[in-house]
Amino acid sequence: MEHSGLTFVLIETWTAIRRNLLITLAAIGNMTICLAILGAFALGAVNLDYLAGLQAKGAFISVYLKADADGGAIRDELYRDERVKNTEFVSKDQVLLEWAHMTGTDPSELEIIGNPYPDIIRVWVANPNDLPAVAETVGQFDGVDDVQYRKSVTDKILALSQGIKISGMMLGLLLVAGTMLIVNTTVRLTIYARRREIRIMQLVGATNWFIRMPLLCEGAFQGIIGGTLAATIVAIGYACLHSYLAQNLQFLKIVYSAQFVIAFALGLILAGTLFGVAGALFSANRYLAKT
Amino acid sequence: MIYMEGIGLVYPDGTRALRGVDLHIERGEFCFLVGASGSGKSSLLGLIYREFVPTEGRVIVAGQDVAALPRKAVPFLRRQVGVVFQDFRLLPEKTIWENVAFALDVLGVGRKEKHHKVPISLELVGLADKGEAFPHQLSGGEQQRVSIARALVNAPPVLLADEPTGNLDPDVSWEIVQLLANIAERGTTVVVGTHDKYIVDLMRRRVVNLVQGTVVRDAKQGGSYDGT
Ligand SMILES: Nc1ncnc2c1ncn2[C@@H]1O[C@H](COP(=O)(O)OP(=O)(O)O)[C@@H](O)[C@H]1O
Ligand SMILES: [Mg+2]
Repeated sequence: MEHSGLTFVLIETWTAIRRNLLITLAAIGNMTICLAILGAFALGAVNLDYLAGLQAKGAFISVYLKADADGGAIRDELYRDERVKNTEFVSKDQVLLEWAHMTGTDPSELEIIGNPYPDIIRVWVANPNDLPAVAETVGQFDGVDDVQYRKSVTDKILALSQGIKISGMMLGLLLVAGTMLIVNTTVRLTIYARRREIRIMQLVGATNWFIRMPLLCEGAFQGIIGGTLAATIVAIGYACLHSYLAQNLQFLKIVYSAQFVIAFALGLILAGTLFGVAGALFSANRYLAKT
Repeated sequence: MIYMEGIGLVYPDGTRALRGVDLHIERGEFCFLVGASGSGKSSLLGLIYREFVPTEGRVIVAGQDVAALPRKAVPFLRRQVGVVFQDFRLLPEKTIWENVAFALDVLGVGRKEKHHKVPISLELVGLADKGEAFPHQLSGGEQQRVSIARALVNAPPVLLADEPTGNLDPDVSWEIVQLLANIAERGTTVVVGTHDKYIVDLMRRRVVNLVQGTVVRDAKQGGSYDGT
């Protein structure tokens, strides 16, 4: 397409936007809301995954040894298991000290309390999903009294993340369909307003792509503006959340870096553009198939 | 230039518009297509620019088998066939110049070429000084001239006119048909569908007469509306 063809497409696009200004604004507003919700869900899922990952990385199996157990032999056997990443032997005295440290008990009082703990081996696995199976195996070893791991927290976060992803996906599908429907409708209005012009274009031999182009640009325009607004809103909200957490709930970490936020914003704008173009393409094709 | 053989056309709703039409129109020929309303003039013209696809028979236009063209090729056929209608079909918010240039715009033609071709086309129809006007500022005859200029700006070998004088006074109609005849003199094949007996009888050119979708008479030259 020559330069003048591009100019023509841009002028047509701009005319269409001006002609349906109110409807275009409403469509962009709707699109912004849809994309913002979509973006918020995406961020939620990313962070729950991140959180679950942090938890899982730290998660270990506590192997409580019998009084006469051979800790070294058990560790050797554990290291033969490929799923095991690392082990640590903690003597009963160390366990008591850790406990005292955690609870703020004065170590001098420990003598009086006595040591109720056994020796412990902590086992880290490469893949958190292997925790239950490895725990089961270790439980069978000679000299092992009991096996425990913090299954609940990790599993709950993973389940929550899974839930968010599934519900987000379903809601997302609805929102995407809604977004495309909105664009579809505004582009249909444009087609209706331009039907005489489109008819003439067809008569003088414009290709279907040339007829589609201004319509697709209109959809893309709505997508870019809607996506940019949504990305701005969500990014600001996310920054506020981040600074609130940093001040008030330091143990709760979220994924936050300039790179991450920029990538997220660009992703949202790109998604908006794609939905806009797809919605426009849909109505353009439906119209062109009829004529 | 236009070659039809055994043409039949039945619309999706079952209406039969054409039956057994054979027609051969030479390059640069000027030809009337006449008949009562509903006799099939618009349908026959529509077959030439692939508005419709024949149910039976073959249509060859400028060497192309029109019915067999893939969808994608239709725009390229349309660039070789200019079409003019009774209602002019101008864009009211564009100037005369822009209306004519529109036919080039949508082909992605460059500025320079546009500024070369549009004035020539406007000059050809006698509206060289009206480029800045808007359609509503022009008379009906002038508006029809603009639509002819738009149809010709791409220099198509074929020009079709479907009731071009349907909305015009007799003397203006006469001028428009004269213009179309002049265009044919320059080598363009011109086919005019009309039921304007007055004009057809004045012109004494080739007349193809349709009755209920069938060619009942084809007066090669010196023809009249009803064969008298
Ligand atoms: N799009 C269409 N669908 C169904 N029937 C049509 C259509 N266009 C025309 N017809 C019918 O086909 C016949 C020929 O119509 P047309 O070609 O428009 O005649 P003319 O131009 O000579 O008035 C008429 O009976 C008309 O009602
Ligand atoms: Mg007709």
